[in-house]
Amino acid sequence: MRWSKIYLISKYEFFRRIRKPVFYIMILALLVLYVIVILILSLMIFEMVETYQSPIGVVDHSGLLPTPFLEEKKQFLVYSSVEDARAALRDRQIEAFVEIPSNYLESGQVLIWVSGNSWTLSLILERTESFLRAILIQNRLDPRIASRVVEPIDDWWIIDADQVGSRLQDEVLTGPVAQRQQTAKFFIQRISKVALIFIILWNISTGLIFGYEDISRDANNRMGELMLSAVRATEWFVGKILGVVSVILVQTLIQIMPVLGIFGWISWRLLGDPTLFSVQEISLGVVYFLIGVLFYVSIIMFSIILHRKIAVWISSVLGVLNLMASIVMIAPSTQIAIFLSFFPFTSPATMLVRVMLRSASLRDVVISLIVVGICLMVTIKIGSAVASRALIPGMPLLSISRPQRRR
Amino acid sequence: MSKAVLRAEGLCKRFGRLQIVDDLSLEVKPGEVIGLLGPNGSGKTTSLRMMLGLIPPDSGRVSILGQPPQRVQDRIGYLPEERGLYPDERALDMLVYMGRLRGMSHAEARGRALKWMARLGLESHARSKVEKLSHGMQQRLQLIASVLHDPELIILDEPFLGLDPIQTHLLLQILSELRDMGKAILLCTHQLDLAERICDRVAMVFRGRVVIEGTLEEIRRRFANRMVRVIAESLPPDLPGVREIRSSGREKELILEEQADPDWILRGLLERGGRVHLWERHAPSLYEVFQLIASTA
Repeated sequence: MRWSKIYLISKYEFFRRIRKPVFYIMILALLVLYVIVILILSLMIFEMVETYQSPIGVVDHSGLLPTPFLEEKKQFLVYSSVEDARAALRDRQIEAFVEIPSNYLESGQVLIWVSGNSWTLSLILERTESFLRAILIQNRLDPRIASRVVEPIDDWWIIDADQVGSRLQDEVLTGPVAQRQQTAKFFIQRISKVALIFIILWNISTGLIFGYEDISRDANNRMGELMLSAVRATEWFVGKILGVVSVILVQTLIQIMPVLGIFGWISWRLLGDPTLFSVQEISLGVVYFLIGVLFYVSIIMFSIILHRKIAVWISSVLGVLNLMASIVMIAPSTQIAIFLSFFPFTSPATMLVRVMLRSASLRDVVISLIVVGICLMVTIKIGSAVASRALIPGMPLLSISRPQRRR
Repeated sequence: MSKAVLRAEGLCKRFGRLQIVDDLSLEVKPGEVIGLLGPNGSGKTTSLRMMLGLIPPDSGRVSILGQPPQRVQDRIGYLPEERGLYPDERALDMLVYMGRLRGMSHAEARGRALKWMARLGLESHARSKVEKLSHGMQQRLQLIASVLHDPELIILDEPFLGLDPIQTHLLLQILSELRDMGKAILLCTHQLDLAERICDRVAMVFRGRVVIEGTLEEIRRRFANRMVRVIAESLPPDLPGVREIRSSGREKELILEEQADPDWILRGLLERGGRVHLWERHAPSLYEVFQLIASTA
């Protein structure tokens, strides 16, 4: 492969798109659309949160809960120890559990145990707050309670039960694996991650359209034969892919920057710290974004070289698979999420979601990168071979000609 | 004797059951124009594509400038039969891009493109979009794209297709100049009269095989005794040595058997009492040679 030719083709394809005003108009239009979609999604999530009915566990060390604890709707289940509650959480009997420390009335602090990065955390908080308020009202004889009724939770600690080995409260609070988050920071980070994932997945989809259009342009204008007389099929194919990927990269950066800027500003204003992501999240996110665009664009380009109808079908399938991957946001540590992480067509999108939500292990990262890397190379190899036939007018795509002996 | 720029030996290609090219060999030397001639579907384009390395031959070998074609892509100019251009691109930008793909710098490609555009009367259309150009202008643009990078070997597939007489004349003139500059030119066409005007040597392809090859003189000489123009009062249909009699009014054209002697046939005709007003040996055109070959095959 001659990289100078690949560079020329990708540069041509890149500048061809970005020099047109319509490119920037589309980006702005998409930004507006993102804001609308994120708003709608947020509203839907909050609505979902309000109607959510899965039980929450309670481990009380403060003595506030009446014994025996009876609750009509069975939305809260009381456990005598954290170990019992964690077992129930593991068995999915409860969504999460709240540990009420002995000094709760003074500190207003609770510990919320969840499994993985549950999406429904805001629901759990809200329900816990209502629950505590109801309990406090029942215990109104205690003079300290009056102020606590108004603000049942001053401070909270979210603990990922999947990552914490033992339950000594002090260890949990100071240990390296426990996530100590303040409410506002946690939500800003969560929403900014979701927005980022959404924008990236959307841009990957536009990459499919660009890829489709690029190959069609050469085929429709009968440029294939001329191009292949100047460059090798692999150079042409890789150049086209890289051209589209660069456009998507620029487009995504333009869209992400203002979104991250806004979230960073909010974080800085509220908390004095504009940091939204860790270095690990950013670097892995970039890796999965790049490999995802490369893989999906190469697949769509390969399929259109084969046949337009195949390309349409494959782009629909990829769209559905990516939708599945985005659903992983709700439960990023489940078996289905892990399966989707290793299935080539869903791996980049799923892993992007999982690494951003810190639900992927190093093993998951390594395996998924190997799987997608191999599939990418195979797609480029086969795609180039097919292109070298399909782009030549009148050349049968699947004709097998038997080598003859020279006379 | 100068070394061949293009050497194809024993090329064969089969698509399914169909033998498209059968044992085709050809050489093109610097400063000569070779015509690969034949009717539509005779395997000319497939042969060219094999020579360019676009299609792998089932058997046989191709070397251009002593190397496999894919290694010397930048030294070959190619005008495919299926013409292609990006319609939304400006004419000059299109040429610069094609030149750059053939290894030229931006400035070099731009300079040469402008020179060629001026030469072919397109200088005022440098900033026009390709889709705004007429068919003939697009043809000229495509021709420039194939010679812009000053290639040593120029392969043109049906270059006269769709050109008006003035453009055809201009193209013949340019090809002649390129030949004088020492370029090796392989021309593939079914327009035999035009090939006759520019080609130094021709190879006639019929059903995938080269049926005759040589200079125009050699070919004409080989077929000089095969055609006779006759005006006679009666012409018996079973004249020995005559394979076919073609009639165009009063004048008849006799196509003779390969080894037949025209004098001997005339004597036979006179002995049978025929009155002959005209008996003229006819040096055949390429078209007529081709017809002869096709009728034999």
